[in-house]
Amino acid sequence: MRSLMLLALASVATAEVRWIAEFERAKEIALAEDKLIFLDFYAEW
Amino acid sequence: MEADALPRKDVQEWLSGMVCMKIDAGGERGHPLADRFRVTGFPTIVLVDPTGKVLYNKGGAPVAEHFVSYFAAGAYNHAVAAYNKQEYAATAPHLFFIRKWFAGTEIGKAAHEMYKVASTDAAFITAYEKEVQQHATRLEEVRAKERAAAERRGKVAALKAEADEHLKKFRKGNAFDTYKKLIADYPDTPEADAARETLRKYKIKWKEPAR
Repeated sequence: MRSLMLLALASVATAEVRWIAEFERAKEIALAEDKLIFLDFYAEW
Repeated sequence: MEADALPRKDVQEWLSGMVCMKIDAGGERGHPLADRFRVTGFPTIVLVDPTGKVLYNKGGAPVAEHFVSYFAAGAYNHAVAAYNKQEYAATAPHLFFIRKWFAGTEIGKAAHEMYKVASTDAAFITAYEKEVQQHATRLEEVRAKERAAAERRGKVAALKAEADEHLKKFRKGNAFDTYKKLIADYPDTPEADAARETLRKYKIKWKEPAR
């Protein structure tokens, strides 16, 4: 029962956003998985 | 990115299908990337496809309610305008862009409906399949190039490690020959520069490959 509940919870949970720190790593993942890269530029000053 | 956009479920769903980066454009690592993507104002969002092609680059913060559709609205409008003029070759790239990268979103569903209607025309299907094929071909070309580059990096590293090991074990002749091979085979690498430095240190002459 518990595992069924966990399964149900997992299926309704919002998928996690993958935030990557290095652009080269982001490129690698995007190329391997045929994904788009989302770059959010901001400035702290 | 607007602060209240990220917690939205639709934005999370859309972003979860991507590889995301937050970049401080004034930071040490962010500045070169801002230059590379010609980012001048903030915030700016850039979408890059897996082959490295920039699909979207625009400053300003979309409002949270329209966050996802914001990036595809222009493409959708172009697709509608081209389709109304029966310019299928111009319709296909825009519809491919939206269906490929915005599937499951409201604008993705609208594009899919347009695709279903347009698919009754063989000319449109031909143009659309060409887009699909071009993306697959380009993806495979870039993957092959990356594989070759990784293989090359591996060979360079192995050669340098071999030469360093010879030197460490006082097999100087073997070491110098291996450094020379490294310079001859991979002259434009940092490892070749290090090999030159070592040969200089031991006053060993070498021949640079013809450029």
